[in-house]
Amino acid sequence: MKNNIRITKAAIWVLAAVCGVLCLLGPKLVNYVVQRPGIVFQGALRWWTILLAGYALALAAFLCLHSLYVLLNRLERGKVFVRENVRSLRTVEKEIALAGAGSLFLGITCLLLMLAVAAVALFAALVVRVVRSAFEEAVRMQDELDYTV
Amino acid sequence: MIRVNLDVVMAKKHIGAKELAERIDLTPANLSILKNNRAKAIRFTTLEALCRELDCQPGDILEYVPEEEG
Repeated sequence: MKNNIRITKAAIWVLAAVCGVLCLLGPKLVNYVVQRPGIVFQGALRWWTILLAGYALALAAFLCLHSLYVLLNRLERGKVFVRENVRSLRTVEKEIALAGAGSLFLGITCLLLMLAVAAVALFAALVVRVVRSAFEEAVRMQDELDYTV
Repeated sequence: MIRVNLDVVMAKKHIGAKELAERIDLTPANLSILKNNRAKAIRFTTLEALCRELDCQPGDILEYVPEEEG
């Protein structure tokens, strides 16, 4: 398990770095993206919506990566089925869902491609929800085991 | 709820918590969990060991008390 955790932590660092680079290149990326046709918003409104929503999504991504990193640290220390991990997974689920909602808004107003990102994010949130429920049940069972004499 | 009357039986038999824990191979912490009604389950092996050392029946240690409504 420790190797898997290390690989995942490394992946988190890589994703955070990619997110950081995308943030730095924000305006340039938006200039590239606005070349594709928009749906509802046009012109400067569309440009600023994509830029600001993009930064909001980046913030959600950084928060999600941070929550995952904290969760992995706990797992690495052997704290698996504990209430804090259930709370972390609930936070991750909300952050992914928020990113999905933001992507949905962008997809409807500015860039159709973001609808695909929204679908993936919302599906990921559902998967994390199931994992969180399984952890909750495991914590309940662990609790019962701890208080079995 | 199931009430554990272990402290009552221990007092009748004049046996302390530390001594009983050692006799039944249970940690003092776990015995305290049982005595203070914080246990969620008890193994039959533990119940058997308690009845053996305290020379009593399970019903002397465990008592069913109906939950108060409202």
